Amino acid sequence: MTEQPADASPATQRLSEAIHRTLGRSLHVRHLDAGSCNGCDWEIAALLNPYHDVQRFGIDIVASPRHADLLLVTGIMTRNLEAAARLTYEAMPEPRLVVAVGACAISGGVFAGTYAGRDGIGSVLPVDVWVPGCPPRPEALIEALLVAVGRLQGRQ
Amino acid sequence: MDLLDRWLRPLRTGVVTSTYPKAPPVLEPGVRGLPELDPERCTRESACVSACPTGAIVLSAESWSLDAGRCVFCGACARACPTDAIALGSAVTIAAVRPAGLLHVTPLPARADR
Repeated sequence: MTEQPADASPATQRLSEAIHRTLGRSLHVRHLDAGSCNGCDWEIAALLNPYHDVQRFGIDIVASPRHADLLLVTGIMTRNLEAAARLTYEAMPEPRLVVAVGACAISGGVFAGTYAGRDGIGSVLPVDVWVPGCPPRPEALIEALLVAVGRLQGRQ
Repeated sequence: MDLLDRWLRPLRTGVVTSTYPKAPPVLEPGVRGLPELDPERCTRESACVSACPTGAIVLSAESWSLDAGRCVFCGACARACPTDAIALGSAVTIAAVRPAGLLHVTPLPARADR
């Protein structure tokens, strides 16, 4: 166990403890853009800034799905990305989690019904947590990671 | 001296990191959260349903339901509402573990005049 700050809330402690128990000291996240407008991607980038700072929870964003425990998928899942998304998911080591980020990844959002892609990533990847928003706020993404880690415990 | 001051400023700034999840998220003014309906003011004219660009709102006799998975938080429903019954709230942390959890249903009171 890493040291907790004295004023850590129960929620923060639960998140850190769950991450430590199931994944050692870290939750490694890989971001996959499956046809997003980049709004959600910027919110994901904001997770690493000094204000939101997900690294305080032991969460980090990694460069390869082979290093990742969790896949953050943004966008409607365009036709061109479908095969790549499947390969990305298969490249991840077990146990693996998928988080659908934003209205597009959940239902297609404003692009629902387009010929160029699917309405959301749910028909291609097994989604564990759905994060609504257009784009979701970084706090919503932090909450989703918290929820996802709770799911990971239940799966084992 | 100016340059030195610029270098030393970060040391005086202190901790800027957000208190979330220890405390509720701090939202800047103008942030649009999940649309909320005041059921008492709703006249069921379904202006919100036709204004919604993604078809996230379903209005029935018993309830007003909003699919957060479709909602793009644009506020068109709030602007379209003739009685200002809809307001964009402050709920932003609304992640769900299954699609059914994305549905936010507001029950409507039974109408006396029908």
